[in-house]
Amino acid sequence: MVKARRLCKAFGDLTAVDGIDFHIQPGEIFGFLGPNGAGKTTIMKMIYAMVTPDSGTLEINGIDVVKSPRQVKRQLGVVPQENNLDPELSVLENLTVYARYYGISKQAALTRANELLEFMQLTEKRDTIIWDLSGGMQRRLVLARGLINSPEVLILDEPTTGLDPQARQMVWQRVRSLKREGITIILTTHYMEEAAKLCDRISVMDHGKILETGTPSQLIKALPGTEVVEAHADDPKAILAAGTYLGKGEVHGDGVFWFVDHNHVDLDPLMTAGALQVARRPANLEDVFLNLTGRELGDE
Amino acid sequence: MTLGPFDFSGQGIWAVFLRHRDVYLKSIWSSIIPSFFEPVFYLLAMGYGLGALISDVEGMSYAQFIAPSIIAMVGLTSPGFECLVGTLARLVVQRTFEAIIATPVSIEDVISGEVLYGAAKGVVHAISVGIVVAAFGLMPSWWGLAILPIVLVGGIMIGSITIVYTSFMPNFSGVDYFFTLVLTPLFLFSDTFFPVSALPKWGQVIAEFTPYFHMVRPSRMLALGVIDWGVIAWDMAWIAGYFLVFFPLAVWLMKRRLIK
Repeated sequence: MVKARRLCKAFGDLTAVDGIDFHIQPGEIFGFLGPNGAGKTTIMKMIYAMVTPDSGTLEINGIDVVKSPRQVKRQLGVVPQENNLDPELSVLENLTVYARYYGISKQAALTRANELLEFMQLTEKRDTIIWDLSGGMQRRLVLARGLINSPEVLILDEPTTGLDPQARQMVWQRVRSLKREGITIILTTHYMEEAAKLCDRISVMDHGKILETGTPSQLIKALPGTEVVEAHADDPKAILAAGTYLGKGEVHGDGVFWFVDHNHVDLDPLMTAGALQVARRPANLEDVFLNLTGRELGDE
Repeated sequence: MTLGPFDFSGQGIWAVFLRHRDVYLKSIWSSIIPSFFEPVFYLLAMGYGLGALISDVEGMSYAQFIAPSIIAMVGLTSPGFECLVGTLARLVVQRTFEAIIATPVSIEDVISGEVLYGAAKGVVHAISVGIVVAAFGLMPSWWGLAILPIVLVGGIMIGSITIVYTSFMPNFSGVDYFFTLVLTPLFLFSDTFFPVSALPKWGQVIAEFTPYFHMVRPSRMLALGVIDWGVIAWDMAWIAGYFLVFFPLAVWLMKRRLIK
C-alpha cells in the first residue's frame, strides 16, 4: 500500500530522515514511535507531498508521490499535527468547503459531512463556529475532515497530543472503528500507550532512522527480559551497585532499570541500599525505546 | 534554479476562490463598509474641500478629475491588503495553505486563488464606490462600467506583485513598510490627485513604469467617455507585462516557501 525505499531528507545541516525503508500493508494501523525530532512528521509530510525527498522512492498504491502528487493526495486523508481549521466557518462548512478541494459535488459533500459529524459525535455542534469549540472537538473535526473524501489511506500526525484522557479515548475508539472499515492508517506518536493500544505494527524511530520494526509484542519479546525492575533514588549509582545480583542495570535520571524474567527476585536489597521506590512490572514499548537508544521517550 | 514546472488546475483554483468567498460572505459588511467610506471621504475632502481652492484641471472640475481614480483606488488597496494581510494570516497564523495543499489542490492553485480573490474583492468594492461617484454626477459616460474589468485585471497584477513581497514576510512586522513605501506612493503619484504632467520629466518617466498608473489612466478615459483605444491597449500591455513577470515569481516563491 505504502512503500518507501532509502528515503532521505535534510534541512540544511539537519538530517531529518536518514535512509528509511518501510512497507505498510493494506488495512493495518502502522505507527512511527519516537521522540520529538525523530523525523516522524517529515515522513508524514513526504507522504502527502509537502516535503520532497532528497533521494529514495515513495509510492502509494504503486503511484510515485513526487511524480504524481495530485493523484496520490486524492487517495489520502490527512490529519496534520495542528488543527488548521477555517476559524471563521462553522463545523459543517469546514467539511463542505474541504470537500470542494476534492471536487466532491455539493449534495454528496453534505451527505458525507453529516455522516461524519454523526460518527465523530459532533452533530449538535454542526452550526458552531470553530472559535467556540473545545480542543477535543476541534481534533475530532480535523479527523472528520480527513475522512471527507473516503480515503484509502489515513495519515494521523500525533492524533492525540494535547488532548485530555477522555478526549484521547474517544479518538482511539474512532480510529479502531475506521480500521474495522478497512482503511489503512499511518500514525505518528510519542506516546508509548497510544502505539501499544492502536498499532498493528510499529517502527521505532530516533534521529531520522528506523531502529526496529515489528508488532508491539514482537518488539517487547525481543527485549533481554519479559519484566523490568525499576528503582528510583536520590543516589541511583548506589542502587545500581547494590543491584548487580539482578544483572546489568542502566541508570536514567533518578531511576535504575534491570530486565528480568519471571523467576522470583528479591527486591529488599534495593530498599536497604536507599531506594525510595521499587517496582517490578511487565516490559513495555517504553523499555523497547530505552533499550534501543539508552534514552527515555520523553527525553528531547 | 528555474521557474516551474508549474501544476495548475482550474478546478483547484476555483475551489480556493470559493473558500475565500464563503469566508468573505461571513463578514461582508465589516469589509465593504470601510472600503466604501474611505474613498467617499477622499471624494468629499479632496474633491469638494480641496477642489474648491483649485481651478479646473485639464478642463474639468477637480472632483471630476479625481473621481475615476478614486474608483481605481480600491483596485489597488483591496488586492494589496488581501494579498498581504489576508494571505499572511492564512499562511502563518491559520495555516490554511497547509490544510489545502494536503488535498489534490496544488500550491500553484492556492496562490492563483489568492490573487483572483484579491482582484474580485477589488471589483466588488469598485462597484460600491462607483455607485457613489455616479450619484454625485461624476460619471458622465456609460463607458465607466468598463472600469470594472480594468480593476479586475489590474487587481490580478497588484495581487501578484504583493504576493512576491508577502512570500518574504515571516510575520506581520513588514506589513507597514509595504503600505507606506509601496502602496501609498503608487497611490499618490499615479495621476490620482494631480495629472502626471505636473511632475518633472523624470517623474513622468517613472510614473510610466509604475503599475498603478496604467489602471488610473484608462479608468479616467472610460469614466469621461473620452477614449483613446491606443492608449488603453498600451496600458493593458503594461498590466499584462507586470503580470507575466510577477505572477510566476509569486507562485514560485510561495512554492519554495511551503514545499520543502
